[in-house]
Amino acid sequence: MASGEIEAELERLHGAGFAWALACCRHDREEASDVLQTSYLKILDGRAAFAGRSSFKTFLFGVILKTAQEARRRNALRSLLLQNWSRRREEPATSREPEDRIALLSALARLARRQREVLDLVFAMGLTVEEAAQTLAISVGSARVHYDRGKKRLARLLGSGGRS
Amino acid sequence: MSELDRELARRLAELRRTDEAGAPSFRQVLERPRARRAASVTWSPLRLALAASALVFIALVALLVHRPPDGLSVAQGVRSLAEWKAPTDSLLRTPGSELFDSVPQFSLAPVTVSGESAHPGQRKKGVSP
Repeated sequence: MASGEIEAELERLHGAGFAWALACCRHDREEASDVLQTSYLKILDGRAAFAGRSSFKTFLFGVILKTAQEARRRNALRSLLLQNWSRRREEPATSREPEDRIALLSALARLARRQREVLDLVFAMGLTVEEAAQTLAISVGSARVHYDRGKKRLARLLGSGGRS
Repeated sequence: MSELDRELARRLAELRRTDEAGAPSFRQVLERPRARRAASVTWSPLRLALAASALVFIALVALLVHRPPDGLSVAQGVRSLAEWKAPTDSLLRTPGSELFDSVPQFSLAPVTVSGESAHPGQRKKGVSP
């Protein structure tokens, strides 16, 4: 793909990419913007090259996920040594947020990481389970297990108001 | 798709639409400044002291683990090991053990047993050649 085409594709998928970056960064907007910018730069300067083995969306989501994981590791090490809690602190739900959004975010936070990621990719981002497996670099079988268990647990959490 | 799937899809898709609607523009994200957020970072004296102590401890352990025993160099240690004798070596010297150090010698002189000569040709008692 030519550089211009890549930039056009990134811009076309920007909204979905930002939503996925938010999901990967525990809904910290600043961190999500940093991660998304780093991902764009990696793709535009060739450090992350699209080889055409999957759709461009799947490729982009994979780069965002990996970048978010690297950022999380760096921040964990930094906050271990330094007195810096602002990055690790979850964005508190304000009274301006709708209650059902708070309940959904709270329930998603209680899922295992892989279950949350698969459900986000399949239900929120519109990927198939196979595409979600490619994004997460796991087998399709594992993705299906996370999908089934995540769905049941999320339904239970939402049904009980996120208390169980 | 089951009823549960439809409900989850609806709620998560709504969450995504809200997130997308609040996203900064593509240009804003691509061109945002990359300066480090250092303002909120502070060094705690206690944490600094703990980190320094941990480094000193690790260095001491490394020195102790790799130190040659009793101040000997590695070459000296090997030589002293080759020359070492066990304190219980004397218990291995049993009576008659010197027999194992030499080959016994047999004499050609006749052996006299109870007055008889064992020399060949003198089979009868008292008979001399």
